[in-house]
Amino acid sequence: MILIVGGLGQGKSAFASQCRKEEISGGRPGRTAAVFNGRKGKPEQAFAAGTVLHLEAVILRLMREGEDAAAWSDRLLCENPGAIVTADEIGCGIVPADPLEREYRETYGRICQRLAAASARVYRVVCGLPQQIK
Amino acid sequence: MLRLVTGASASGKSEYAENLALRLGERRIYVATMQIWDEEDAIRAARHKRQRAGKGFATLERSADLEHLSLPDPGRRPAADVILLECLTHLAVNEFYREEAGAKRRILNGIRHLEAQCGTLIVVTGEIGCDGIRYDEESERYRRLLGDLNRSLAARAASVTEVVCGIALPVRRAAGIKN
Repeated sequence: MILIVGGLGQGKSAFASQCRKEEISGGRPGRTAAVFNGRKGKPEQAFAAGTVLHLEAVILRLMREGEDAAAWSDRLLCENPGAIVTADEIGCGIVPADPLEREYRETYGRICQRLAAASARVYRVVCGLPQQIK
Repeated sequence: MLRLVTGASASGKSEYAENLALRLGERRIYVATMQIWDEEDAIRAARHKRQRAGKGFATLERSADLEHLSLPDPGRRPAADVILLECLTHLAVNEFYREEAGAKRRILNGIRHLEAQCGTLIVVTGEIGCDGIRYDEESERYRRLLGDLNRSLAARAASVTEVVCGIALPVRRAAGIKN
């Protein structure tokens, strides 16, 4: 897995697309060119996608629907270990007043730690500039 | 010596700081600053306790007034090899609501007081100014206080480390200091 983190609008999706092209041109076509968009795709479609965008959005949707987001991320790691995943960095504000928002921040943070630990490479994108941090 | 560890919530900064403490000496003190108000806080504190179980810390619970905190074994110098202060965001809230005037001075004095009694003081803090939201006036004053504290401590810390998704990124390190 390749994990790409960074703030909103920093260029993570564009970098993910570039990573995928480089993998294909480097003779590692991956399983599929399919792109899963966490803002609107059915969560289970992520397990078969080459690129998973907006991890923060799919985790929030799962939690709002009362689903087990940690189990979903375990399945993603297990079934789609070659995926390129983009994830917004959150958790740099005041502790939210809403209990679900608080739980989301904690659960999502831990999921990102777990995916980062399992990833071969982790990048952080700032102002469109990717920095390899693992 | 002072070392500062920062990062988002649930970024893995506490675990990083605990493991750093393990490498820096055997006599370890953990100063827990979170005030327990409700069940959610209690669960959070219990999770931190589980995480550091078996790591050999003597825990002191102290939500404010670190200037007057007496450490165990005061006859020995230093009183500990390493003290881990977890975390500055809670200490700052507690001092802010105890008495806003002078909060910064009391906190920095308290940190000096601990630092003078150990080989290394590790302070865990947080980043709370990057979510693009404007809060009410009181919360903004608190955010300003924590930002001031972070800058004051970082200016003289031997190392400043940001933890992102469990990965430690050196922000600054004095010569000869390992991450």
